[in-house]
Amino acid sequence: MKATKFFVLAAMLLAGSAFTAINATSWQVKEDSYSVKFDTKGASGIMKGFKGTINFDANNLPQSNFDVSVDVNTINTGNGMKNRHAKGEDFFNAEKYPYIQFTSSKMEKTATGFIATGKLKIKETVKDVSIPFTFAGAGNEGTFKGNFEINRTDFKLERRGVGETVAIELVIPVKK
Amino acid sequence: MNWKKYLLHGIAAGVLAAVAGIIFLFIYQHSLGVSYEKVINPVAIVASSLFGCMLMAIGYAVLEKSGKERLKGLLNVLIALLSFASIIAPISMSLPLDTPNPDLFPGLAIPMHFFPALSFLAIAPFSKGTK
Repeated sequence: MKATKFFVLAAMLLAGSAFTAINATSWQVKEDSYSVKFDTKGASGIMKGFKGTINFDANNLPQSNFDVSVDVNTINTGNGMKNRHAKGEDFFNAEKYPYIQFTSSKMEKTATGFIATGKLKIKETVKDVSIPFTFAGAGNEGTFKGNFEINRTDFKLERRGVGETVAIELVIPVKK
Repeated sequence: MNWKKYLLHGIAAGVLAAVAGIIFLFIYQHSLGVSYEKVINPVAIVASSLFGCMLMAIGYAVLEKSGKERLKGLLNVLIALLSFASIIAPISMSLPLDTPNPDLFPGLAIPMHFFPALSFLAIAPFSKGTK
């Protein structure tokens, strides 16, 4: 009787494991070596404070996901006056909305790399964006590189003299 | 026409402005704990101070050569106005992105833009009688 119970329990565990998802690899961002750059007519610069969750496995895209943010208060255009304007109430309003957030919902493989589709939140506006990226990994380390564009007016970022289309370049070295 | 007088005036004023600029650079950076060495350094301060003061000296010399020395007052006003207008450069320039505290940079650079004119005009009365 005891042996039968043990057998049933083992069979249930085995059957259950067949439906258990295998998690994608969790990566930690290497502090101080990543870069988040933006460039548009009249302004270019960097943002720091990149943090969040990066689960990625090229062979397990359904379980891969990004949930990351950057700190708007770290914006640096190289010009103090532009920095203040960018963080000001009538642009990013960094005091009220200190983070720009991206949460992926789907990852796909493309001819040149991958594409992460998800929601980008700037201030109160959330928009669907697709971020093409590559991942070069070796051992316990790797680097994500991505380039994409957004239209700042989609996020109610209004400023005369600044280009509407903003090119964003991400280089994110990571380790396991 | 005494070119030597104006050459000496320009060089003396340039050296004075450079000394003031370098002292101000060290005091400013030390007291605020910032560093703008990628953008501004003593060599650049000496070169730009001498260049600015020599331009002013050339202006004085040209007025004397053309017999319009009465217009020196007008030239002085122009020098002051140009010095004031030049502050737009440090306000609008973008520093290298790895330079921290870009907001404190104009506080360093703006006063320096007045040093050449200040020193040139300050020693102008001493240069008058030189032959």
